[in-house]
Amino acid sequence: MDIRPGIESYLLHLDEVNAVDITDLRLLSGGAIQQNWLLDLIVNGTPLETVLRTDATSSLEDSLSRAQEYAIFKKALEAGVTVPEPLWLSVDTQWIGKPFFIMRHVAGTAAGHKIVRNDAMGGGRKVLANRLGQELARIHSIKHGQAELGFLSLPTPTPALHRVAEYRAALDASDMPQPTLEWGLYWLEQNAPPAVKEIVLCHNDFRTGNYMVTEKSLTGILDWEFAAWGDPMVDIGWFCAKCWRFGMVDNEAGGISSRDDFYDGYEQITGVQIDQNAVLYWEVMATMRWAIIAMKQGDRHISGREPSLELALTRHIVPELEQDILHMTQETGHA
Amino acid sequence: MRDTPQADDLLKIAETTFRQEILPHLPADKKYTALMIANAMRIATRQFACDENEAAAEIAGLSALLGQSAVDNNPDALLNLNKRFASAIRSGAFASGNEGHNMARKHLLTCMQNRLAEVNPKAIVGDSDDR
Repeated sequence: MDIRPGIESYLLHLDEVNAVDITDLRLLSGGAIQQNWLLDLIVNGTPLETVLRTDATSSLEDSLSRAQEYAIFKKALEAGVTVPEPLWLSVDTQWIGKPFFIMRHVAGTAAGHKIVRNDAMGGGRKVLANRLGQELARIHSIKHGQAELGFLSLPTPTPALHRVAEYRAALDASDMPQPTLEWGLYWLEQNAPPAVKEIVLCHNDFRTGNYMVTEKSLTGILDWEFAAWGDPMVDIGWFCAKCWRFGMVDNEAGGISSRDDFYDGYEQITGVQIDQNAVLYWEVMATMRWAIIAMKQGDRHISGREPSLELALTRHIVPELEQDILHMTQETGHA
Repeated sequence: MRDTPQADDLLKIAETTFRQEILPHLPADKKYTALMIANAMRIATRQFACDENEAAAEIAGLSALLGQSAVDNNPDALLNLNKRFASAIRSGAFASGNEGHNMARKHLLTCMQNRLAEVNPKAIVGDSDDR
């Protein structure tokens, strides 16, 4: 479907837009759940580089709608988080057949495997890790109880046990038994931390690959579709988990730098010291979550619903994640 | 009887030829897909080459863990044993401190490493037990 005429009509119907010219419209790669279109405009005679975000054909049941994501972008911007400025939202499907929002385009790359192998990104490894710690702390400054974010789910009985139950349900929905994942889930259940004192906004996909960065600086935190209320350590564990270091395993903060650099940035804003043991628990959970997602993605191919080589190969990431889980949960300590 | 070369050999030479003669000439935006194709072919090649005794060893390991003696000839034996094993783990039968905990962990490590040897052998890291 050619979405160009629909976008043009939509923009022209806005009060503030008198004239619009679409100078470029291209589907950006990546995004199995959402589609991102590069959309270069001339609005009322002024060039405006934007990205249009809309649903892809397949969507994960637990991801947010575009309207909800738009509300989170606005809230995050208010909290001082570096996000692309949200410009317009349409929940009306008359324009391009599905809801969408348009945000200002930010410069840089999000390609994880490139970022972790370039010492200069974001002003240098230490600077980038510190900045990411600060960004995450600002996200976590958004406390539970915000009326505008009332649609976000609250994990019960605790953030950890909520996930254990969710992942067990995912295993039960599959025909293939997964003894190693069960092993990890049992450990996660037995070692679950108590409920946190303060529930905060968790990004839930805060990792290398989901932020935009130039050699000068970080330019935007992306991919908010899994945001929910939760334990702030969830995001720190996800960011540091070995599976999100893009092969640069010695750089424990997202493949870019040391944990200390990342933690320092976080602690500078929150004033609270990060408990390393708490993070390690959530790294096991992060590895488990990625294994469950990889299984589900594989199932989309296996079931014949969505034949895809990429989905098929993603299923085969699971043994490597199982290895991490078995090593991390060993009784002698965290490997 | 089939003529040779058969599936494993055909896949292997197809992958080598694809990597050497096709992949280098593809435009940059097709490289990722091409590498995925080559990777899928390599995994399939390794699966053909896998040791058939592994399944028997897995059945024996599971039978020992679950205290089940004889191995039946049911084609679903491995699947059924794994289902029982998974459910026993969930119920805490192999919790730390329980008899069988270390043996179960060792079994899981072996099975994981066998599968990893097929899909990504470079990723195998020795366990701290044997480091």
